[in-house]
Amino acid sequence: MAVAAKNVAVPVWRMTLAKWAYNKSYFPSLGMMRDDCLYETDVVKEAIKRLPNNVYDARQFRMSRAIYLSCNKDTLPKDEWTKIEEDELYLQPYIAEVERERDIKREWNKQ
Amino acid sequence: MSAKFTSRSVLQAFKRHVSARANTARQESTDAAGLQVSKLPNGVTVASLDSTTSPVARVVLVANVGPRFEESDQLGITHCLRVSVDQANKSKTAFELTRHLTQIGANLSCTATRENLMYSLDCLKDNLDIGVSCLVSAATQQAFKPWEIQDCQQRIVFEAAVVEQQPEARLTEMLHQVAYRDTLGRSLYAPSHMFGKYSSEMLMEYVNKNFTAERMAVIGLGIGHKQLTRYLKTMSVPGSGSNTAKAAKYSGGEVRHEIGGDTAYAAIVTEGLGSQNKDAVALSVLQCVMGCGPTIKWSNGSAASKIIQAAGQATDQPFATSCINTTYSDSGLFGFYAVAQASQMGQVLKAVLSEFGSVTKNGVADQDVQKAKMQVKACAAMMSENGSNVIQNIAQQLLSEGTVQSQEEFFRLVDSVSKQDVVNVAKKVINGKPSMAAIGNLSTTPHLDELM
Repeated sequence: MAVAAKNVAVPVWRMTLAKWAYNKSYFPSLGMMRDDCLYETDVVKEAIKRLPNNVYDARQFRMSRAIYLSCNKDTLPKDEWTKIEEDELYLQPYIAEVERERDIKREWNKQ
Repeated sequence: MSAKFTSRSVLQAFKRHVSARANTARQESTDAAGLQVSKLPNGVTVASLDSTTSPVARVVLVANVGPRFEESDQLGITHCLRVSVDQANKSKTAFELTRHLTQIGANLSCTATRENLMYSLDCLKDNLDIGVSCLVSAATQQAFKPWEIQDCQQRIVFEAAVVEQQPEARLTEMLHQVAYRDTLGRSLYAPSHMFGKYSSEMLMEYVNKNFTAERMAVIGLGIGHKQLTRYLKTMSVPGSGSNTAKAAKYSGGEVRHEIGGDTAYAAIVTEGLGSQNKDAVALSVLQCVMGCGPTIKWSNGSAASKIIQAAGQATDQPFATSCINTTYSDSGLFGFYAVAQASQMGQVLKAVLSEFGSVTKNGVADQDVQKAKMQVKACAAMMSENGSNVIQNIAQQLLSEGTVQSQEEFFRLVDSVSKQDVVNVAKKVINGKPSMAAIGNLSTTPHLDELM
């Protein structure tokens, strides 16, 4: 589940607010997940390169469908929108690893 | 940091002995206490040979994992394992591993023989804590990240292409393949149909199946036993369960590969003896009786080698020939290889073969046996001058035999070989089923049935 990523107890009011904000956003109506919409910095680009093939293909499909819908100023039917429970932050582990590697490099190059 | 690739060298039988006691101050392996062997709690054997003369320490982690253990859908996986030694592992990223090693001025390399994979570290004694942690993480905590495995494939393609350019290397691979088919016949290098096919899961499964505690050993040279054991306390073994090796079955046969050119390369062998066989030393002496190439650089060697003399009488064009004696733990190959101009190959092969045949019929001369014994001892002694040879020998002996033979014991064994022993082992080995491999311009190279 997207919100409870760190296994911390989240207050109910916070969850409600998160759900409301998610459903008000544009990207779920195009069938995208949050990690599809990340701005492609160097770190994110490297993380995308490391995705396994099936995850990468699914991402590409969602983005292509979203671009098509956006061109036609259309959205998916309401029942096909991405729900907050189904949204998976699939890119985060790879981003964390890339950032960790960069930190290590930076530490070494300081000396 | 390099991944060396070596196939079993011609004088393999000589590379098996270590000096446990000091003879000269120049030698690295010097200590009155000798080799100490023990077992870690996780089941891995640890051996160490302390030395006070050199500031360099060498640690080798050897695993009884080689092309011999590959299944038919895993061909070349040892090659992939070997080139991925410098990739990220569970405790260090590739960058960290490289920087740690360069910071302490150490060398980490991975050498593969057909039976063993040896991860070797050379560093100064003061830096052993970092060095050994790098070694252990590279050898036992491989992570095989999928994107890094893809980068390794380039390296595999390059190494295979280099081997493709060397007829001698290809000859050795072909010879083993025709002699043993599977187990020891598997190539050290990845076949072209497997380029790009090695996946992270495949490699992880291979490691978990084969890197078991009883098939691994860590040997230290120039480091005390307690110290080495302390550094290895946190080592964990990736594999579990026991896995017995399939016995190597010699089949024999013939394989030829025509590639044109001026020269032809051929090797003819019969089944030799494994290193645990009691006649293995006599076979080494026989190898030197037959001749292992010139002893004076750039000379034609006919005074030193019987087979060079025989071949020299059959042709006046350039050629090279040497007796092969390759020893593995339970089997071996004994015979010769010859390189000659394409038109002369038939004469050269027939001449050398008749020389081998005459040994079984007419025996050997006393002075040939004496000369051969001296050569065997000298070669072993010279090999043991180099620390990395010493430690690789200890590693291979420890894994295949469980004990390590000292140089004095080896010299005693060589001295006790009699002329009759040599003739007996010659009759036993040379009259076996032959295997032949040939590559090059084979227009006049006879087939095996035409030669026998």
